Amino acid sequence: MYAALVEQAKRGDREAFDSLARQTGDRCMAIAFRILRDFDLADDAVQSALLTAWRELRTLRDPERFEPWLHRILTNACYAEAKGRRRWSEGVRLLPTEAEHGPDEYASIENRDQLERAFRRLTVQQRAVLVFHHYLGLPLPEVAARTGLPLGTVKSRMHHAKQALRASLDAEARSPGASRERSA
Amino acid sequence: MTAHHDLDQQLTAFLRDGPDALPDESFDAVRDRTEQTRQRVVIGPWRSPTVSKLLPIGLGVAAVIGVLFIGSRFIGSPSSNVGGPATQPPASAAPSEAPVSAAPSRMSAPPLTQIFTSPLHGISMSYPEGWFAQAATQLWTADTIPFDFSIPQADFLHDGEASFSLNLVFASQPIGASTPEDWVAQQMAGPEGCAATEPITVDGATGLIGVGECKVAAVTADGRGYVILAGISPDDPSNATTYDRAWFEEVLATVQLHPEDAVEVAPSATP
Repeated sequence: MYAALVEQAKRGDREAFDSLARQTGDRCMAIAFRILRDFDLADDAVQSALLTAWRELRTLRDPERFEPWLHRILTNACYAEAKGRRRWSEGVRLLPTEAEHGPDEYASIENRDQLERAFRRLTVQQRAVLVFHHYLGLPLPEVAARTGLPLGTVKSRMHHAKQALRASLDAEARSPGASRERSA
Repeated sequence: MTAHHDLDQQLTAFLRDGPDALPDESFDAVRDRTEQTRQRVVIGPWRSPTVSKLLPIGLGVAAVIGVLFIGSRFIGSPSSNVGGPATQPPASAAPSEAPVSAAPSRMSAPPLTQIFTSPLHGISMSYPEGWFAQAATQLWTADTIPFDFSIPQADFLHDGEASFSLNLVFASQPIGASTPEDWVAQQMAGPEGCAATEPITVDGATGLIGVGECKVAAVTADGRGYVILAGISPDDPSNATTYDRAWFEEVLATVQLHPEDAVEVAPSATP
Protein backbone atom coordinates (compact mmCIF):
# COMPACT_ATOMS: atom_id res chain seq x y z
CA MET A 1 0.00 0.00 0.00
CA TYR A 2 2.81 2.40 0.86
CA ALA A 3 5.62 0.52 -0.85
CA ALA A 4 6.44 3.13 -3.48
CA LEU A 5 6.55 5.95 -0.97
CA VAL A 6 8.62 3.86 1.41
CA GLU A 7 11.17 3.12 -1.29
CA GLN A 8 11.44 6.82 -2.11
CA ALA A 9 11.69 7.78 1.53
CA LYS A 10 14.40 5.16 2.11
CA ARG A 11 16.46 6.99 -0.47
CA GLY A 12 16.19 10.12 1.65
CA ASP A 13 13.19 11.73 -0.05
CA ARG A 14 11.68 13.85 2.71
CA GLU A 15 8.62 14.73 0.62
CA ALA A 16 7.82 11.06 0.27
CA PHE A 17 8.22 10.54 3.99
CA ASP A 18 6.00 13.54 4.67
CA SER A 19 3.31 11.90 2.53
CA LEU A 20 3.78 8.64 4.39
CA ALA A 21 3.52 10.42 7.72
CA ARG A 22 0.34 12.19 6.67
CA GLN A 23 -1.23 8.95 5.45
CA THR A 24 -0.39 6.97 8.56
CA GLY A 25 -0.21 9.63 11.27
CA ASP A 26 -3.92 9.89 11.96
CA ARG A 27 -4.21 6.19 12.59
CA CYS A 28 -1.14 6.33 14.81
CA MET A 29 -2.74 9.15 16.78
CA ALA A 30 -5.91 7.14 17.22
CA ILE A 31 -3.91 4.18 18.52
CA ALA A 32 -1.65 6.25 20.77
CA PHE A 33 -4.52 8.17 22.33
CA ARG A 34 -6.41 4.99 23.09
CA ILE A 35 -3.35 3.49 24.73
CA LEU A 36 -2.24 6.57 26.65
CA ARG A 37 -5.66 8.23 27.29
CA ASP A 38 -3.99 11.63 27.03
CA PHE A 39 -3.97 13.78 23.92
CA ASP A 40 -0.67 15.51 24.54
CA LEU A 41 1.18 12.33 25.45
CA ALA A 42 -0.27 10.64 22.39
CA ASP A 43 0.78 13.54 20.20
CA ASP A 44 4.33 13.33 21.57
CA ALA A 45 4.42 9.56 21.10
CA VAL A 46 3.32 9.80 17.48
CA GLN A 47 5.85 12.51 16.68
CA SER A 48 8.57 10.49 18.35
CA ALA A 49 7.54 7.34 16.47
CA LEU A 50 7.47 9.10 13.11
CA LEU A 51 10.88 10.60 13.71
CA THR A 52 12.27 7.20 14.70
CA ALA A 53 10.68 5.71 11.60
CA TRP A 54 12.40 8.30 9.43
CA ARG A 55 15.76 7.68 11.08
CA GLU A 56 15.50 3.90 10.94
CA LEU A 57 13.66 3.54 7.64
CA ARG A 58 16.61 1.99 5.84
CA THR A 59 16.51 -0.95 8.22
CA LEU A 60 13.05 -1.86 6.92
CA ARG A 61 13.60 -4.53 4.31
CA ASP A 62 10.02 -5.17 3.26
CA PRO A 63 8.26 -1.92 2.31
CA GLU A 64 4.92 -3.70 2.45
CA ARG A 65 5.37 -4.06 6.19
CA PHE A 66 5.74 -0.36 6.79
CA GLU A 67 2.60 0.10 8.83
CA PRO A 68 3.11 -2.88 11.18
CA TRP A 69 6.71 -1.77 11.58
CA LEU A 70 5.59 1.77 12.38
CA HIS A 71 3.04 0.49 14.88
CA ARG A 72 5.73 -1.47 16.66
CA ILE A 73 7.80 1.68 16.96
CA LEU A 74 4.70 3.57 18.09
CA THR A 75 3.97 1.01 20.78
CA ASN A 76 7.46 1.44 22.17
CA ALA A 77 7.08 5.22 21.99
CA CYS A 78 3.85 4.97 23.97
CA TYR A 79 5.61 2.91 26.63
CA ALA A 80 8.37 5.50 26.79
CA GLU A 81 5.88 8.38 27.11
CA ALA A 82 3.97 6.58 29.82
CA LYS A 83 7.12 5.82 31.72
CA GLY A 84 8.44 9.34 31.36
CA ARG A 85 5.31 11.07 32.49
CA ARG A 86 3.40 8.63 34.58
CA ARG A 87 0.21 10.35 35.53
CA TRP A 88 -2.31 7.71 36.12
CA SER A 89 -3.08 4.81 38.35
CA GLU A 90 -0.15 5.29 40.70
CA GLY A 91 -0.50 2.87 43.55
CA VAL A 92 -3.75 1.40 42.35
CA ARG A 93 -4.04 -2.27 43.20
CA LEU A 94 -6.78 -4.20 41.53
CA LEU A 95 -8.62 -7.03 43.11
CA PRO A 96 -8.52 -10.40 41.43
CA THR A 97 -10.69 -12.79 40.10
CA GLU A 98 -13.23 -13.01 37.46
CA ALA A 99 -14.76 -16.06 39.07
CA GLU A 100 -16.63 -13.84 41.50
CA HIS A 101 -18.51 -12.11 38.74
CA GLY A 102 -21.69 -13.16 37.13
CA PRO A 103 -23.03 -12.31 33.70
CA ASP A 104 -25.68 -9.92 34.90
CA GLU A 105 -23.21 -7.57 36.46
CA TYR A 106 -21.73 -6.65 33.14
CA ALA A 107 -25.05 -5.92 31.58
CA SER A 108 -25.52 -3.19 34.15
CA ILE A 109 -22.34 -1.36 33.28
CA GLU A 110 -23.49 1.38 31.01
CA ASN A 111 -21.49 4.28 32.19
CA ARG A 112 -18.66 5.04 29.85
CA ASP A 113 -16.85 6.94 32.57
CA GLN A 114 -16.61 3.82 34.65
CA LEU A 115 -14.98 2.01 31.80
CA GLU A 116 -12.67 4.96 31.25
CA ARG A 117 -11.53 4.86 34.85
CA ALA A 118 -11.14 1.11 34.80
CA PHE A 119 -9.20 1.26 31.55
CA ARG A 120 -6.84 3.90 32.94
CA ARG A 121 -6.03 1.62 35.83
CA LEU A 122 -4.57 -0.95 33.45
CA THR A 123 -0.89 -0.89 32.67
CA VAL A 124 0.02 0.74 29.40
CA GLN A 125 1.20 -2.64 28.13
CA GLN A 126 -2.21 -4.17 28.86
CA ARG A 127 -3.94 -1.28 27.14
CA ALA A 128 -1.80 -1.68 24.04
CA VAL A 129 -2.85 -5.29 23.62
CA LEU A 130 -6.52 -4.39 24.06
CA VAL A 131 -6.31 -1.48 21.62
CA PHE A 132 -4.68 -3.52 18.86
CA HIS A 133 -7.19 -6.31 19.29
CA HIS A 134 -10.41 -4.47 20.07
CA TYR A 135 -9.88 -1.17 18.28
CA LEU A 136 -7.93 -2.25 15.22
CA GLY A 137 -9.57 -5.67 15.19
CA LEU A 138 -6.27 -7.49 14.67
CA PRO A 139 -5.97 -11.21 15.36
CA LEU A 140 -3.73 -12.09 18.28
CA PRO A 141 -0.71 -13.24 16.23
CA GLU A 142 -0.70 -9.86 14.50
CA VAL A 143 -1.07 -8.13 17.87
CA ALA A 144 2.01 -10.09 18.93
CA ALA A 145 3.91 -8.87 15.89
CA ARG A 146 2.95 -5.24 16.43
CA THR A 147 3.71 -5.21 20.11
CA GLY A 148 6.86 -7.29 19.85
CA LEU A 149 5.57 -9.88 22.29
CA PRO A 150 5.35 -13.66 22.12
CA LEU A 151 1.86 -14.86 21.31
CA GLY A 152 1.57 -16.52 24.71
CA THR A 153 2.37 -13.24 26.43
CA VAL A 154 -0.26 -11.45 24.37
CA LYS A 155 -2.87 -14.02 25.38
CA SER A 156 -1.84 -13.82 29.00
CA ARG A 157 -1.77 -10.03 28.97
CA MET A 158 -5.20 -9.93 27.35
CA HIS A 159 -6.57 -12.29 29.98
CA HIS A 160 -5.16 -10.31 32.88
CA ALA A 161 -6.26 -7.00 31.38
CA LYS A 162 -9.85 -8.14 31.13
CA GLN A 163 -9.69 -9.68 34.56
CA ALA A 164 -8.47 -6.37 35.93
CA LEU A 165 -11.15 -4.46 34.05
CA ARG A 166 -13.84 -6.69 35.49
CA ALA A 167 -12.44 -6.35 39.00
CA SER A 168 -12.24 -2.60 38.67
CA LEU A 169 -15.76 -2.28 37.31
CA ASP A 170 -17.05 -4.53 40.03
CA ALA A 171 -15.28 -2.51 42.71
CA GLU A 172 -16.88 0.65 41.37
CA ALA A 173 -20.28 -0.94 41.29
CA ARG A 174 -19.94 -1.85 44.96
CA SER A 175 -18.58 1.48 46.10
CA PRO A 176 -20.91 4.08 47.68
CA GLY A 177 -22.41 6.40 45.10
CA ALA A 178 -21.65 4.10 42.25
CA SER A 179 -25.27 3.68 41.29
CA ARG A 180 -25.81 7.44 41.26
CA GLU A 181 -22.75 7.82 39.10
CA ARG A 182 -24.00 5.22 36.69
CA SER A 183 -27.35 6.85 36.31
CA ALA A 184 -25.92 10.35 35.94
CA MET B 1 -24.93 -13.58 25.93
CA THR B 2 -22.00 -14.26 28.22
CA ALA B 3 -20.38 -11.78 30.52
CA HIS B 4 -17.18 -12.23 28.59
CA HIS B 5 -18.90 -11.27 25.37
CA ASP B 6 -20.54 -8.25 27.00
CA LEU B 7 -17.24 -6.88 28.19
CA ASP B 8 -15.72 -7.38 24.75
CA GLN B 9 -18.53 -5.45 23.15
CA GLN B 10 -18.37 -2.64 25.67
CA LEU B 11 -14.64 -2.43 25.23
CA THR B 12 -14.94 -2.25 21.48
CA ALA B 13 -17.58 0.47 21.73
CA PHE B 14 -15.54 2.34 24.32
CA LEU B 15 -12.43 2.30 22.17
CA ARG B 16 -14.33 3.67 19.19
CA ASP B 17 -14.57 7.01 20.98
CA GLY B 18 -11.67 9.39 20.87
CA PRO B 19 -9.61 11.53 18.54
CA ASP B 20 -8.46 9.97 15.31
CA ALA B 21 -6.48 12.77 13.74
CA LEU B 22 -3.02 14.13 14.37
CA PRO B 23 -3.04 17.96 14.40
CA ASP B 24 -1.56 19.66 11.35
CA GLU B 25 1.03 21.41 13.48
CA SER B 26 2.25 18.02 14.67
CA PHE B 27 2.76 16.87 11.09
CA ASP B 28 4.62 20.12 10.48
CA ALA B 29 6.77 19.54 13.56
CA VAL B 30 7.68 16.06 12.35
CA ARG B 31 8.58 17.45 8.98
CA ASP B 32 10.78 20.11 10.55
CA ARG B 33 12.53 17.53 12.69
CA THR B 34 13.18 15.19 9.79
CA GLU B 35 14.88 18.09 8.03
CA GLN B 36 17.38 18.12 10.86
CA THR B 37 17.70 14.35 11.24
CA ARG B 38 19.85 12.09 9.15
CA GLN B 39 18.64 8.66 8.26
CA ARG B 40 20.68 5.90 9.78
CA VAL B 41 23.11 4.42 7.33
CA VAL B 42 22.85 0.76 8.03
CA ILE B 43 25.91 -1.32 8.63
CA GLY B 44 25.47 -5.02 8.14
CA PRO B 45 23.59 -7.13 5.67
CA TRP B 46 21.23 -4.43 4.49
CA ARG B 47 23.67 -1.57 4.18
CA SER B 48 23.79 0.41 0.97
CA PRO B 49 26.38 -0.76 -1.54
CA THR B 50 28.09 2.61 -1.87
CA VAL B 51 28.73 2.79 1.82
CA SER B 52 29.76 -0.84 2.05
CA LYS B 53 32.48 -0.42 -0.53
CA LEU B 54 33.88 2.90 0.58
CA LEU B 55 33.73 2.59 4.33
CA PRO B 56 36.28 -0.24 4.76
CA ILE B 57 38.70 1.56 2.43
CA GLY B 58 38.29 4.78 4.39
CA LEU B 59 38.73 3.04 7.68
CA GLY B 60 41.77 1.20 6.38
CA VAL B 61 43.41 4.42 5.19
CA ALA B 62 42.57 6.14 8.46
CA ALA B 63 44.05 3.24 10.42
CA VAL B 64 47.29 3.35 8.43
CA ILE B 65 47.55 7.10 8.97
CA GLY B 66 46.84 6.59 12.65
CA VAL B 67 49.54 3.94 13.00
CA LEU B 68 52.09 6.08 11.14
CA PHE B 69 51.18 9.11 13.23
CA ILE B 70 51.48 7.26 16.51
CA GLY B 71 54.64 5.49 15.38
CA SER B 72 56.37 8.71 14.40
CA ARG B 73 55.64 10.23 17.80
CA PHE B 74 57.10 7.29 19.65
CA ILE B 75 60.11 6.84 17.39
CA GLY B 76 60.98 10.51 17.70
CA SER B 77 60.93 10.41 21.46
CA PRO B 78 64.05 9.20 23.30
CA SER B 79 61.99 7.74 26.13
CA SER B 80 58.68 6.28 24.92
CA ASN B 81 57.27 5.12 28.22
CA VAL B 82 56.62 7.64 30.93
CA GLY B 83 59.28 10.22 30.14
CA GLY B 84 57.45 12.29 27.56
CA PRO B 85 56.39 15.87 28.01
CA ALA B 86 53.40 16.41 30.23
CA THR B 87 51.57 18.19 27.47
CA GLN B 88 51.82 15.19 25.20
CA PRO B 89 49.50 12.46 26.34
CA PRO B 90 49.97 8.84 25.31
CA ALA B 91 48.69 8.28 21.81
CA SER B 92 46.11 5.75 22.82
CA ALA B 93 44.57 8.19 25.24
CA ALA B 94 44.38 11.14 22.84
CA PRO B 95 40.71 12.04 22.65
CA SER B 96 40.28 13.23 19.12
CA GLU B 97 43.25 14.99 17.62
CA ALA B 98 44.85 11.90 16.17
CA PRO B 99 43.06 10.89 12.97
CA VAL B 100 42.20 7.45 14.28
CA SER B 101 43.77 5.60 17.14
CA ALA B 102 44.98 2.17 16.18
CA ALA B 103 44.08 0.93 19.63
CA PRO B 104 40.37 0.32 20.09
CA SER B 105 38.55 2.61 22.46
CA ARG B 106 35.94 0.55 24.25
CA MET B 107 35.30 2.74 27.22
CA SER B 108 31.56 3.30 27.02
CA ALA B 109 30.01 -0.04 26.09
CA PRO B 110 27.70 -1.04 28.90
CA PRO B 111 28.57 -4.32 30.59
CA LEU B 112 26.88 -7.48 29.40
CA THR B 113 24.93 -7.97 32.58
CA GLN B 114 21.56 -9.07 31.24
CA ILE B 115 20.80 -12.55 29.99
CA PHE B 116 18.27 -13.30 27.31
CA THR B 117 16.94 -16.79 26.69
CA SER B 118 15.02 -17.26 23.49
CA PRO B 119 11.62 -18.88 23.90
CA LEU B 120 11.81 -20.36 20.41
CA HIS B 121 15.32 -20.54 19.07
CA GLY B 122 17.31 -22.55 21.60
CA ILE B 123 19.86 -19.87 22.37
CA SER B 124 20.73 -17.61 25.25
CA MET B 125 23.25 -14.81 25.51
CA SER B 126 24.29 -11.90 27.65
CA TYR B 127 23.52 -8.42 26.44
CA PRO B 128 24.26 -4.88 27.54
CA GLU B 129 22.87 -3.40 30.69
CA GLY B 130 19.95 -1.11 29.95
CA TRP B 131 19.05 -2.71 26.64
CA PHE B 132 15.59 -4.05 25.87
CA ALA B 133 14.53 -7.47 24.64
CA GLN B 134 11.79 -8.47 22.24
CA ALA B 135 11.47 -12.19 21.77
CA ALA B 136 10.61 -13.85 18.49
CA THR B 137 6.99 -14.86 18.22
CA GLN B 138 7.14 -16.98 15.10
CA LEU B 139 9.36 -19.76 13.81
CA TRP B 140 11.88 -19.03 11.12
CA THR B 141 11.08 -21.29 8.20
CA ALA B 142 12.27 -19.35 5.15
CA ASP B 143 15.67 -20.11 3.66
CA THR B 144 17.24 -16.88 4.81
CA ILE B 145 16.10 -14.25 7.23
CA PRO B 146 15.75 -10.53 6.64
CA PHE B 147 17.11 -8.69 9.63
CA ASP B 148 14.42 -6.08 10.02
CA PHE B 149 13.70 -5.60 13.65
CA SER B 150 10.02 -5.72 12.86
CA ILE B 151 10.08 -9.33 11.80
CA PRO B 152 8.52 -11.64 14.35
CA GLN B 153 10.79 -14.59 13.50
CA ALA B 154 13.91 -13.20 15.18
CA ASP B 155 14.79 -12.35 18.73
CA PHE B 156 15.71 -8.70 19.01
CA LEU B 157 17.78 -6.93 21.67
CA HIS B 158 18.06 -3.17 21.32
CA ASP B 159 19.44 -0.15 23.04
CA GLY B 160 16.31 1.80 23.93
CA GLU B 161 12.58 1.46 24.24
CA ALA B 162 12.09 3.57 21.17
CA SER B 163 15.59 3.35 19.82
CA PHE B 164 17.05 0.72 17.57
CA SER B 165 20.42 2.26 16.78
CA LEU B 166 22.29 -0.60 18.41
CA ASN B 167 20.84 -4.06 18.26
CA LEU B 168 21.44 -7.76 18.25
CA VAL B 169 19.18 -9.91 16.08
CA PHE B 170 19.26 -13.70 15.99
CA ALA B 171 17.24 -16.72 14.96
CA SER B 172 17.65 -20.42 14.33
CA GLN B 173 16.16 -23.20 12.27
CA PRO B 174 16.81 -26.88 11.53
CA ILE B 175 19.30 -27.18 8.70
CA GLY B 176 17.36 -30.09 7.24
CA ALA B 177 19.09 -31.89 4.41
CA SER B 178 21.80 -29.25 4.03
CA THR B 179 25.29 -29.92 5.25
CA PRO B 180 26.40 -27.56 8.01
CA GLU B 181 28.90 -26.00 5.62
CA ASP B 182 26.28 -25.39 2.93
CA TRP B 183 23.78 -23.96 5.39
CA VAL B 184 26.31 -21.57 6.89
CA ALA B 185 27.55 -20.53 3.44
CA GLN B 186 23.97 -19.86 2.35
CA GLN B 187 23.37 -17.58 5.31
CA MET B 188 26.59 -15.66 4.81
CA ALA B 189 25.96 -15.26 1.08
CA GLY B 190 22.81 -13.25 1.64
CA PRO B 191 23.94 -10.26 3.64
CA GLU B 192 25.43 -7.44 1.69
CA GLY B 193 29.06 -6.73 2.52
CA CYS B 194 29.62 -10.14 4.12
CA ALA B 195 31.39 -11.87 1.26
CA ALA B 196 34.64 -12.15 3.22
CA THR B 197 34.38 -14.55 6.13
CA GLU B 198 36.54 -16.49 8.50
CA PRO B 199 35.90 -19.50 10.73
CA ILE B 200 34.50 -19.01 14.19
CA THR B 201 33.40 -21.21 17.04
CA VAL B 202 30.42 -20.18 19.14
CA ASP B 203 29.76 -22.28 22.24
CA GLY B 204 31.58 -25.15 20.57
CA ALA B 205 29.65 -24.88 17.34
CA THR B 206 31.61 -24.09 14.20
CA GLY B 207 30.69 -21.72 11.43
CA LEU B 208 31.65 -18.43 9.83
CA ILE B 209 31.81 -14.80 10.86
CA GLY B 210 31.99 -11.80 8.56
CA VAL B 211 35.24 -9.93 8.22
CA GLY B 212 35.49 -6.19 8.69
CA GLU B 213 32.26 -4.28 9.10
CA CYS B 214 30.05 -7.31 8.61
CA LYS B 215 28.95 -8.32 12.08
CA VAL B 216 27.14 -11.51 11.18
CA ALA B 217 27.92 -14.99 12.45
CA ALA B 218 26.35 -18.26 11.35
CA VAL B 219 27.00 -21.59 13.08
CA THR B 220 25.37 -24.98 13.34
CA ALA B 221 24.95 -27.32 16.28
CA ASP B 222 23.22 -30.69 16.36
CA GLY B 223 21.40 -30.15 13.11
CA ARG B 224 20.28 -26.63 13.93
CA GLY B 225 21.58 -23.47 12.32
CA TYR B 226 21.95 -20.15 14.09
CA VAL B 227 22.45 -16.68 12.66
CA ILE B 228 23.45 -13.80 14.92
CA LEU B 229 23.82 -10.23 13.77
CA ALA B 230 24.90 -7.00 15.43
CA GLY B 231 23.38 -3.89 13.91
CA ILE B 232 25.42 -0.82 14.80
CA SER B 233 24.45 2.65 13.72
CA PRO B 234 27.36 4.71 12.40
CA ASP B 235 25.52 7.96 13.12
CA ASP B 236 27.37 8.24 16.38
CA PRO B 237 31.06 8.03 15.39
CA SER B 238 32.00 6.51 18.73
CA ASN B 239 29.92 3.44 17.88
CA ALA B 240 32.56 2.27 15.44
CA THR B 241 35.11 1.87 18.20
CA THR B 242 32.81 1.06 21.09
CA TYR B 243 30.76 -1.61 19.33
CA ASP B 244 33.49 -3.02 17.18
CA ARG B 245 34.37 -6.54 16.13
CA ALA B 246 35.94 -7.25 19.52
CA TRP B 247 32.69 -6.25 21.22
CA PHE B 248 30.71 -8.53 18.93
CA GLU B 249 33.05 -11.40 19.73
CA GLU B 250 32.64 -10.59 23.42
CA VAL B 251 28.89 -10.98 23.00
CA LEU B 252 29.35 -14.18 21.01
CA ALA B 253 31.52 -15.57 23.79
CA THR B 254 28.49 -15.41 26.10
CA VAL B 255 26.25 -17.32 23.71
CA GLN B 256 24.96 -20.67 24.83
CA LEU B 257 23.36 -22.88 22.23
CA HIS B 258 20.79 -25.38 23.40
CA PRO B 259 19.23 -26.75 20.24
CA GLU B 260 17.37 -29.32 22.30
CA ASP B 261 15.22 -26.49 23.72
CA ALA B 262 14.38 -24.95 20.37
CA VAL B 263 10.84 -25.17 19.15
CA GLU B 264 11.15 -27.60 16.31
CA VAL B 265 9.73 -27.24 12.86
CA ALA B 266 10.35 -29.47 9.90
CA PRO B 267 12.39 -27.80 7.19
CA SER B 268 9.96 -26.65 4.57
CA ALA B 269 10.15 -25.26 1.10
CA THR B 270 8.87 -21.84 1.97
CA PRO B 271 8.72 -19.15 -0.66
